[in-house]
Order: sequence, then C-alpha cells, then structure tokens
Amino acid sequence: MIVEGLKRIMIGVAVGSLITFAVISFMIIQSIDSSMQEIWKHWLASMLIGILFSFASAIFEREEWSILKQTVMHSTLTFLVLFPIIILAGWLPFNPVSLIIGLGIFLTTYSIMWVSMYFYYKNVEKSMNKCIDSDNK
Amino acid sequence: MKLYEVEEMLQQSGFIRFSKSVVGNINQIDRFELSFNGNLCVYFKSGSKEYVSRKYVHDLKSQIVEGGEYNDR
Repeated sequence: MIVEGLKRIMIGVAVGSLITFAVISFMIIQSIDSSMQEIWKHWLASMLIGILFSFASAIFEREEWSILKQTVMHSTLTFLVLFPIIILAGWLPFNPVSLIIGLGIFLTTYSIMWVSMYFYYKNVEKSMNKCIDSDNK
Repeated sequence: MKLYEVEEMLQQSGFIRFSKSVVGNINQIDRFELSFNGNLCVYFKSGSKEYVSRKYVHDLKSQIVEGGEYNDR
C-alpha cells in the first residue's frame, strides 16, 4: 500500500517535472525571462497536478464500480483538488467569467470521456451480439 | 478449488471468465446489453444475468468475434 502510494507520487512528480522542463526549454529557446519564484510556483503546481492524476487513475482500476460511478468520482476528486491548485498558481484567474469558462472546459472534457467510453462499449456489445446471432441461426 | 482452476478445467468446453467471480459458457449466451451506467451485462439462454467486468471484456470479445468454433464438442 505504502509502496504503491510512493510509486504514484514518484510518477506524478516525474510527469509534472518533465512538463515543467519542456516549458522552461521552450522559454529558453524563445529567450523568455522569468524569475526563480515564478518558475518554482509553476513547477510545484505541475508536480501536485501530476500526483493528483497519478492517484486519481486508481479510480478507473476499481472494476466493481460502473463507468458512470468512476467518471463521477474521478471528476469530483479532480474538481476539488485541481481547481484550488490552478487558481492559486494563477493559471485560472479568479473571476466569475474565467471560472465559468474553466468549469465549462472541465465538464466538456469529462462528458467527451464518458460518451467515448460508452460508445466504445456499445460497439463491443453490438459486434458480440452480431456474432452470437449468426451462430444461433 | 479456486475459480481460476475451474476456469482452466472448463476452458476446453467453451467456458470463459466473465468477471472476478463468474465463469460462463460462451455457447449459452443469449445476448449482451450495455446498461446506462456503462456496465456490460450478459444474458444467458437460461435466463440468468451476469456482469462482464472490463478486465475480461477484451478476451471475451476476441473469443466471440474471432473464435468461430468454441470447442463445442
């Protein structure tokens, strides 16, 4: 349990850091300057978000939950943790219009995810039923 | 006896794993149905209903779609 937790933290930190490295590399190529404090803040936010998704993915490994329950649990957890981080890091400005747009993107993303999974399994259902029908004749 | 042992034993007779706790005969399936919450249900010809867990969906599908003859005899 502890090992699994540490593993997930390390994966989150690694992915978050890799993305930060890519962004800093881009800034160096483009000669964009920033302060150490700024970089520290965004790096920290990336790592925390990495850890969040690393842990949250365990929700989709719970086979006994339906896809609907998994999606709802995942989105609730993400919402509760992600929004404070991106607001504090300044990625999402704290004003009504930005928050509504942010929430809209958030809900759209999850809806697309849910609908794609649903139709994927709908297709599986259809192709298996077709095979069974042709066998029964 | 463990369920995976039962599974191995009955493999030759067309039985396959559906979920953690279910092994069923692939030749006795009536139909599959996706419920609203995304669970894949399987209805057997006998009328009983079970769930297919996503872990086993892939194997089940390849067995049904590509398997052709499922060791019927």
